[in-house]
Amino acid sequence: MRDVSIAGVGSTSFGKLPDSGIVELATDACREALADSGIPRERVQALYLGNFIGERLADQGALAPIVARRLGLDGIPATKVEAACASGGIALRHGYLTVTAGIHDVVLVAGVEKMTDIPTGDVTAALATAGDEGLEMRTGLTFPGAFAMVMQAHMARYGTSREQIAAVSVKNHDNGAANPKAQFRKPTTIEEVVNSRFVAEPLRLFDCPPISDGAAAAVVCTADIARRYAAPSVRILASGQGSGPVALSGMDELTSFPATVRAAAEAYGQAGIDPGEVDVAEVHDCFTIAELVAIEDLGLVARGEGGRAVEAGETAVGGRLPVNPSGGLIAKGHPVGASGVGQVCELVLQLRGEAANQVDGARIGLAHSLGGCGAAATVHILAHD
Amino acid sequence: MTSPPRLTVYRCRRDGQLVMVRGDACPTCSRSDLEPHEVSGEGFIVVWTTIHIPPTRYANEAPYTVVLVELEDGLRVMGRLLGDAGRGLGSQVRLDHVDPERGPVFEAVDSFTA
Repeated sequence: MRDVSIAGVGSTSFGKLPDSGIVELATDACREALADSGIPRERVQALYLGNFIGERLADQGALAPIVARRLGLDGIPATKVEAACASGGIALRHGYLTVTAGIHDVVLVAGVEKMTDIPTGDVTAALATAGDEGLEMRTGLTFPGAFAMVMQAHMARYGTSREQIAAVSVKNHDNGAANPKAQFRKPTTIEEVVNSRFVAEPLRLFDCPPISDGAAAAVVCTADIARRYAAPSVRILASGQGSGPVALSGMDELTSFPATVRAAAEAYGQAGIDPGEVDVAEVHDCFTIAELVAIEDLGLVARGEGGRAVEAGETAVGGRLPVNPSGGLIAKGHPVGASGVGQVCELVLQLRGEAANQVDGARIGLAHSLGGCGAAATVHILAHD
Repeated sequence: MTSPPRLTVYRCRRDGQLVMVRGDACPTCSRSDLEPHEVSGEGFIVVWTTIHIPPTRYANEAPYTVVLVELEDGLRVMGRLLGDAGRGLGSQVRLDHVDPERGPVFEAVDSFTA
């Protein structure tokens, strides 16, 4: 197995981007990543593109070959990867795997979604395809509804308070306010979160991410090539992936996602580190409660302690372990197929010391992406090279 | 009086374990040698949510309440709740009917007897 690095990253802003179609978003991010890496375009040997619902929301399939051709990479293997909101994370993993295995030396990884010019009911329906239609979603359950159930379970089991859950939104909005790529650039308050309108009781609007357009990309290559072209580059120490129940009725425990636990165990083992060594994390806060479950499943806080940790400021920038300094999906935005790659872009900037909300002295970063309500998860551990 | 509606699930022919759908693996033996099996539609609400922003196909039905129910046999099933009066963690419900599109529809036992 060869050492693998990220030589460059690029990202559009996340938000309502009416002037760009899904292909233009992807090519913008890819060109920025290639320019950032300094690696000539001709050296790219493959493209892995994360996208969840481009067929439904943007009427576009065969997205990876289209993006490759527009980039002037005609002929290379170009593969779309889909695992709901973990699509981008899994695209990165495929880039990592082919480089570490010696199949390719330079791979372009990207994620993209175009969501904002579609009625909310249709977006809600498209996102709900990440659930189990035959068993659950046909009832009219939605994704916010599924996480509303997880929220109830966490509150009942651990005594997590409504205010503690709202504190995730407040923290992430504070972070997003300073991130030029973020969709929401304005702080909020506990009062505003707990009084915002219901989306799926007991989950409210400010517990949710926005509907977003956006794309992100990374150039993944051997550590040797990265050192030759890019200064500084960031090493991928580990890549973990797991799967879990798609249906809530199949979960042993509603307050933990086995896919995350498995991906994390694999990643920590590969990297040879324990959770306490992580300096900064970007985790999948598709809803406020999801961030609490994520940091518990990742072992960054003790089981049931997520609410207390965020309320105490432990996960704020300047706290013991900053989580989602980018603003997370809740404030930075959640173009679902792009989110997993967007997190990695943010972490690369953190480890290069170039991030908005820079975490002082960050050397090890963790990215966690979750698809569905625990159907799939990836964990990547990055390190300053 | 008609007998209360029951739910059709599947049972492993070897172990007797219950699973929700044809094609599922038995949680004990991992095989999928299943036969249809009827279970009681009575149980309790594990968690609930009331949907205010629905998918397009149910746009005219919101708000409506969806419940994760644990049946007497221990199987968990997602369904609609009639109204929202009986929603609550641990509240007793019983199957009212199985809607061909929406799946199981439960009613709260308390609001039924009141």
